[in-house]
Amino acid sequence: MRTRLTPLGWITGAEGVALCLVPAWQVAPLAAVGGIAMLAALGAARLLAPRGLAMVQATWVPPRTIHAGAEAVMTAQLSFNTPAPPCTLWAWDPRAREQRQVARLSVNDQAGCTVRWVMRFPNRGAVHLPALQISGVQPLGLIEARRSAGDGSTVIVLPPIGRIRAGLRARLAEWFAGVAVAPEPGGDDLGRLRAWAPGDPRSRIHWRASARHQQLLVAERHAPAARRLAIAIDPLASAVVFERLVSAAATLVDDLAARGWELMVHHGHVPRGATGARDRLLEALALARPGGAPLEEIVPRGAPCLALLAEGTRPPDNQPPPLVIRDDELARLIHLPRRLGRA
Amino acid sequence: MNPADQLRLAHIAGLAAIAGWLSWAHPGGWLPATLVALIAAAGEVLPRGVWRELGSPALTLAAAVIAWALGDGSRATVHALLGTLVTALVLIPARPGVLRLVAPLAVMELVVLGLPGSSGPPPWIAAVVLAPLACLALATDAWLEARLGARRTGLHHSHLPGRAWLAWALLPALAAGSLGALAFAPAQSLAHALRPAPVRTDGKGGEAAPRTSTGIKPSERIGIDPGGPPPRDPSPAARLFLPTDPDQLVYLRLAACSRLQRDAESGRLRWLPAPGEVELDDTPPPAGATIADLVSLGGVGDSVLAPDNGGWVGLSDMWADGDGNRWRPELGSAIRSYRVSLDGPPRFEPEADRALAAAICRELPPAIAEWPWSTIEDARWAGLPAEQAARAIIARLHERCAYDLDTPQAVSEPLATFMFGNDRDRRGTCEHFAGASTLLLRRAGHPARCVAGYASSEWDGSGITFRKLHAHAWAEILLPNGRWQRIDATPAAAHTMISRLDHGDQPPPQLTQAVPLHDRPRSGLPAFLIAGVLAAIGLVAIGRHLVQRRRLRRRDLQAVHRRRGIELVELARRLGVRVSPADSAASICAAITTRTGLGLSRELAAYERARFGGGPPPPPWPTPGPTPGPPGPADE
Repeated sequence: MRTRLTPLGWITGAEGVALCLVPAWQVAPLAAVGGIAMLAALGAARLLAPRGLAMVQATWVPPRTIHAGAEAVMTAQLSFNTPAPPCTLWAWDPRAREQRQVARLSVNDQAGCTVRWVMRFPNRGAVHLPALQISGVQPLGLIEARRSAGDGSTVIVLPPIGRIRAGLRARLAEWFAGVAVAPEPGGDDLGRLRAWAPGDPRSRIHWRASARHQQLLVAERHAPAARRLAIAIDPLASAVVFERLVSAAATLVDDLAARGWELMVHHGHVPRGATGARDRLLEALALARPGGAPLEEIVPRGAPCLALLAEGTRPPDNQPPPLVIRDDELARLIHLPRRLGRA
Repeated sequence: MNPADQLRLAHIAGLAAIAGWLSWAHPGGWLPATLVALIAAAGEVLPRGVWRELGSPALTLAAAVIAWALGDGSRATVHALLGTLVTALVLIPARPGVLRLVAPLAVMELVVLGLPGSSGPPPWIAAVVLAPLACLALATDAWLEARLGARRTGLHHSHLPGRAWLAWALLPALAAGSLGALAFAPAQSLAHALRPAPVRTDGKGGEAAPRTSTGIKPSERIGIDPGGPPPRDPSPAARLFLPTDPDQLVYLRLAACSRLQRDAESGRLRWLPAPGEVELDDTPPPAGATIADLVSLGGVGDSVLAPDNGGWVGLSDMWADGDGNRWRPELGSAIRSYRVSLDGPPRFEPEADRALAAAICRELPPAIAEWPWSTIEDARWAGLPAEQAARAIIARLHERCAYDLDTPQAVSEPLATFMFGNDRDRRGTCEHFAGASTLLLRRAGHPARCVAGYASSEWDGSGITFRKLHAHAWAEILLPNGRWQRIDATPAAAHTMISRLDHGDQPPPQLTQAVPLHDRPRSGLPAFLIAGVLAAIGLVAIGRHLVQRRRLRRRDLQAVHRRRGIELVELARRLGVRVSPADSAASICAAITTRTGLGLSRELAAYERARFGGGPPPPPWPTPGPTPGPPGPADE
């Protein structure tokens, strides 16, 4: 619990002391009465201001997902054991790196209340939120008391997510057509159509397309393994470029996972790759940092892989060869958030 | 009731409290205080905006001028008027964070009431009322400001104040204020301990006990006791500056004693000031100065001249009775020196005071009803006008009674002995004559009172010297025209007898030690009214100036915001950061930082604080280095 004099408190204290020195020349020491009343008010404020906040509890209720740079609605749940005087709620602002006043609460009853406000986290990663703070100047407005109410919290700020442009979709389709299709009947996804050749089984003929094109066409479908994709991030990229690559990877994860792809994320500190659902992958990307294992160990062999590389990084000679997207191409392929954009 | 209405109500209540206090504490000022407070409170209901901002002070000032015109111009009136005017101009129209100014105003009133020379209610009442009022204003202001701030956020629905308001605003304020009020007695003891007590006289030539907090009221020492010995002390008691020889007896009034009551110790009848206390000053006289205290009686009493250790006093701007007696009401307890200005127009007691005084001056104690009044009274006195009745009574007293400084001692009731004793015992001093004539006048139905003072004809070329042996008592009757007429029943030979007493080697006091004040009669438009109006106009002008300055500052700030925004976009474009209309300042700064590493967080925080939080103008954006290009391959 911290207390400090408000400007009015300083004035009142000085006034009280000055007035207390007056009775030596006053007929009736009424000035001293005023001075002592002022000092008594100061003492009462010092005594009661912390007590007014003692029974207030404030708990962080962070949102399910927070993306760096995007607005996040933060929530605090407040409870009061006894009716509390008006107070102010302070929360840590990661952008300003200081406690920020987020709400001024009126008379608070025992039902408690929920306070919401908007906050932006500038960087991805694990962010520790210090405990919420409560301050108040009641009674009399002379002393401001402030205390931490409740415990802190840790949130994982996910990378910012952009939007995949049409160019990248076309390039992905072209690349998949080269590496991820097979003549065997595979999954449900249609890989491509080609003209019938002697030896092709009749069951592979795509009759509807053949009727439409007036020639026999054979459907080639993706192999089941082609629905899996590894995304590798260049561990040697500089910090600024690495952030862009992570954001691009998050954008790909967000898009492809929604389409049912099974994805793995590889970076220098998780060379064997992180698997899981979309949120798990985004959390892995949120915690990614440059450095770690070299690129050759990161890019998996024998599986389709999309390598996000910085300019000048040589791609590994793996089979099948990975789809390499470099930092200088990102602006054309992915619409990244502007704070990560590049001219 | 929403917090804005609560704020308005609290401001009106604060104004009403201050005006009520000033009306009660300064009785002459109830009319101006009430009028100004009512009209100022009415200004709160004006439409918001310019009407209320300008109309309310204008209404208040107009009310103050009208109140001054209706008032009697006394000190109490000015005090109440100025206090209410300042409070009204501060509190109306209601704004958050202003109610706390009631606290310094209340403290200021406390300080003023404690100053030497101030008049007002008993100090302990001021302490009990004003100290809690100051604390309550602080608490209410803090509470309302918090509630208004909470309402502005819109993040939380406010609840009606209840237990929390009692616990966190009202009770602490009252506790602090009560503590201050309770400190009055110790502080008074401390003040008395730090100050030497002056030696005073009791108005009859005798030396009174030093003034300490013994609980003895001054009114118990100023009075007319016919049983006491006459003073024979020739030391100067007071001096009146008179440039010309009056060539007659000059009366100097000490106190009008309208109340006749039996003394608890001696059982004798005493004439005492009525009703209320005599507020005497506790301040010691300045070193080397011979002074006299001019103090006032509370309630219906007159001003009292309380000579102290000899000295002189001149009186000007006095009120007068029909016989030329001069006195000065509502002087307070200040030590003052006045110069006589007999040429000025006399003023008379207010009608209400006269009516009350007349009622008091007809009262007679039941104990004297059994006296043998038929031996001295004449039934015709009741049918005569007051002056004729007084002349008849004086003639009757002169027939029956004789003046003698050696009055009979150890009689149970000197006044009864003086009027109804045997021929040898019917003698007495001026106190007997004054008391007997007053009683006879009252029994005849004419309002009358005794007056204690001095009567002297000792003129020395520059003024009249009143010695302690000149202590005198006389009677006054209330004439139909509302004036008090002096009736001196003491035989004229008595004054000759007194003047022959040995004055000893007591020189007259030096007039050069005095500081004459108020040589001129009061002008039609007093200076303090002009000063008050000018001060009020100045306050309003300052307030207007501050509001306009704030508005100008807001406009300037908005211009600075726009300029800073344009500068930020230009900076971004110069650094190669694309900016779209959808980008915010924060996103542009983040893009610049990402691209160039240029830290803008501090400037951005100042920009946002100025734009959204009312902070100071933001500083300009930092200038990037000479080669702020995009990171090259070497960086990666």
